[in-house]
Amino acid sequence: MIVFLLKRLGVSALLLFVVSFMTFLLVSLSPGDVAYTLLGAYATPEQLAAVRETLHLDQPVLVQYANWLGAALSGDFGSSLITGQPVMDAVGSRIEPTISLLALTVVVAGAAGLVLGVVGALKGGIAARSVDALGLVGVAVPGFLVGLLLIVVFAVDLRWFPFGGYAPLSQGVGEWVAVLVLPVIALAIGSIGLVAKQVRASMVDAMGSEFVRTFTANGFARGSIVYKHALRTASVPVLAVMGVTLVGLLGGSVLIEQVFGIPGIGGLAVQSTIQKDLPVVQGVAVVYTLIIVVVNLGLDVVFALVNPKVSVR
Amino acid sequence: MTVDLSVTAVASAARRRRRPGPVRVSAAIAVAWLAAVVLAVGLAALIAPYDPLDQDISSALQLPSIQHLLGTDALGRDLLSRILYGGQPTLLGVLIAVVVAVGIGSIAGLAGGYVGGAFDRVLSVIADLLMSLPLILVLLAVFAIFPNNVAVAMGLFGLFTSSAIYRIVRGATMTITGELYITAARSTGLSDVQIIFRHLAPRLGGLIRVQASVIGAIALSTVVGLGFLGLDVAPPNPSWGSLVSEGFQYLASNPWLIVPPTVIIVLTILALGVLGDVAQSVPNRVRRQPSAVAGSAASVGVDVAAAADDVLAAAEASPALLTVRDVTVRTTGPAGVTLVEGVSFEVRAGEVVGLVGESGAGKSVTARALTRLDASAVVAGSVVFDGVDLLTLDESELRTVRGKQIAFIGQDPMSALDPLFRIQGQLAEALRTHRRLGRAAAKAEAIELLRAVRIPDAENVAKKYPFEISGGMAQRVAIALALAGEPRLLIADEPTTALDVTVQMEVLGLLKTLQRERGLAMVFVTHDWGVVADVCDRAITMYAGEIVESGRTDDVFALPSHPYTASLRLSDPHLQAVGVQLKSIPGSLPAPADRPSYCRFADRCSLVTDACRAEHPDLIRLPGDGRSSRCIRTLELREEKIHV
Repeated sequence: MIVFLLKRLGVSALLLFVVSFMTFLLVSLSPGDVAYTLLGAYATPEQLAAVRETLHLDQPVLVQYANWLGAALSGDFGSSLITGQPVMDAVGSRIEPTISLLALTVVVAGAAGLVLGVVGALKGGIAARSVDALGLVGVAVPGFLVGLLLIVVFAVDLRWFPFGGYAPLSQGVGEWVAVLVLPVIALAIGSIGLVAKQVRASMVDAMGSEFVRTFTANGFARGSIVYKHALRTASVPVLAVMGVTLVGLLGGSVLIEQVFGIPGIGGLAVQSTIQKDLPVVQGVAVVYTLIIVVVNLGLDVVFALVNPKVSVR
Repeated sequence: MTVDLSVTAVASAARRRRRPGPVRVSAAIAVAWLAAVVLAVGLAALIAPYDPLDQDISSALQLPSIQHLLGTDALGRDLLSRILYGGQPTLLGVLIAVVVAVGIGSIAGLAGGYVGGAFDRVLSVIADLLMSLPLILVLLAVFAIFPNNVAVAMGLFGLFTSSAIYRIVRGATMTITGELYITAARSTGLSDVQIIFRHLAPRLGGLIRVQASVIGAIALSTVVGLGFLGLDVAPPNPSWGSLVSEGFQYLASNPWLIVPPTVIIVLTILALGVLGDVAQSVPNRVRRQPSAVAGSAASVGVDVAAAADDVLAAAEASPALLTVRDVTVRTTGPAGVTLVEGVSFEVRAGEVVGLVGESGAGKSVTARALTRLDASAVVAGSVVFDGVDLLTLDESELRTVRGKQIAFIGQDPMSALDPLFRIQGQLAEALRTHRRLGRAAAKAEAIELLRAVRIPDAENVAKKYPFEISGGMAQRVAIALALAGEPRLLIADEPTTALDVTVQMEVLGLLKTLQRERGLAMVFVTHDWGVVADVCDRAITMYAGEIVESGRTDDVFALPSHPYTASLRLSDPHLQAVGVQLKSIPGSLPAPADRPSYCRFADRCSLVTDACRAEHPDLIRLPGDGRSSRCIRTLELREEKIHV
């Protein structure tokens, strides 16, 4: 178990390194740099060169990356080249909305997908087909379009929920939930179908397995067979899908944040990439990768707890 | 004959599949929609009524009219024309993504799955890495380097999503490569490349088509999202994403503007999704798992008679514990097939009755029908256990019978237990299901049960998971689980078939001992006459879904009264002389739907006469304990006038 977790930690560290290096490389290699953004189109070559020197942009890319990596490892992610705000502050002030959105979405998508999937698996027939159809529609319709629709109906017409923005958790749970209801639904709707479909398929498999027959044939309670044994067996592949789903959710959250005007990491990502604000881009990349890494590690632990084959061998 | 049968089976399967259903219709609509969209977008230059950039402020923000079929935007540009032209960068992006994903994914998957080894491991690590990277960041960075370049961004999207195709193709390739015909192709000297293109690629085609449409749907969704962020094309050029974004700006004042592009996008994504979903749900031909490995050998001492005689005499006096009358099993649905027909037999307390026959004869179906274990089967007739007709009970009432009165052990011990729970926990659950026991007491009792099935070091084994123990051990645990409710009847469905020969004998010995110790009645399903001789008091031979002979084991062994039993006995591998060709019964068992209206064994019988093909024979009662035969020449057989 411990060896297993250490191995996963190693892979996670490698992933962080690869992501940060690739983003750095991509942004550095792109034509034009932050000096243009800062000085505008009418800057003289001398002015540009001066700015580049101040910002160390004249050094080779690998040296720049090594400098960044060294500083980052000691906790210093630098400052925005545009606003001068430390990256940790810029990212830190925007992380709560994004994490809130993602966490609630995972909970909602997981719970709804689980219920729908189990119902579809056990009832079969029309219930199963409805779950599949729902899943198809959810996957097919992009979340940000669903978001637009939700805004029109529930924020503009019915005025049940705020139009957008964000209310920090510290200002009260009610506000926080109210402001996140629509974006969470919009972001979750695609994943609900995916999760439900996976739950249904795994559950049908599990219910068809030999041990379910043994237990049934020897009089075990139906509730125990379905919810204790089959569901646990079914949850193993579902956990794997949840990991992949989350990576998809990150992409979706960028758009959802734009649509609902949520001041999260997504907006920062778009803005800093377009402005070539390298330290901020790097900070965003690290945060996104960290989210993925942490969630996958968490899933691995749950996976090991559910499936003794991982921890025993 | 074998050939004929399989041909009809394939033909009827094909007929079933060709029947147009709702699935086919939705697929046809999806294809039609996609074709129309692609054609209209591709021919935008010819069919668009206006230039997509032509402004006319005087006619801004109009609703649909004859001049502007979908209305106009804030600058008076024709919306229909902008959608048609806007589809070009959008659909091009989708096409690039799909081509790159499918191309790279399937080539890497084929190569990795076919070559294997270190090469495959490297590819898998790369695929894992690609899957866990935050794709959105990469896409943003790409747009920073190549502003408004959908092609590069979606090409990269394709590269990243190719890992999904890679995994699927790799898995399928590994499975297929293991199959016999590929080995055969290799041994005939086909090169690897030839094998891949001639044998593997066509079979993977379907899989790849499904994934391609799913990736297409996701790609379209993504490219529209990027367009919505304003990344894909430089204004004022239209794209589907930017049209949604423009509509969004006028959402409050002119809600119509966002409707046409959104509807078209959603319908197109749905069409792609439907296509993938339909391809996925095309029914796979369900292959029946063979219930028995023919010719597995357990050399068991054939001292049938003497010792068991006293027990038998006692059993004969007692009334039947289980009386099966005229049981018929059909598969569910209007096109249900009759699997087992008119089966009647009795099991007395403490008696072991063997159900014997070839794979597919209906033995297991009959055994499982007794407590209605197959949800997909309809059981008619009566199964009276201890005065109660089990077929009249509902599921919850049956649950009080299963395990407590009638327990069951199956043929595959390794999957008979839940791999995610410790053995002790599962046994304790079984005990608590049937008896009032506390948790601690149940756990202690579980260890006693393991001792009862002669497991050495029971405390230690109790703490293990099912995948940590051997097959023989697992079958002992499964027997312990079945004994937890102290049942009076044990149904054993080929309990030794999946085990090694030496282990078979141990498990068989254990079952015999337990049966004697506890006075258990047993219904023992087997294809192995050695096992019948060893454990069964009476033997019932089944053929093509019905009983063809029954009688006391020693009687049947001494003189079979049905030619099928006689042939089975003759082809028993235990009785074969060394160096002589193994005897077998010519022909094969007719499928349930193709059973003849006359004697079902006639077409394979060496004693067949014209009378055998005249009508379906009844089961004939013969002198002796429960002796009967479904052969019109049985008396001739008995008097040994004829020989098989």
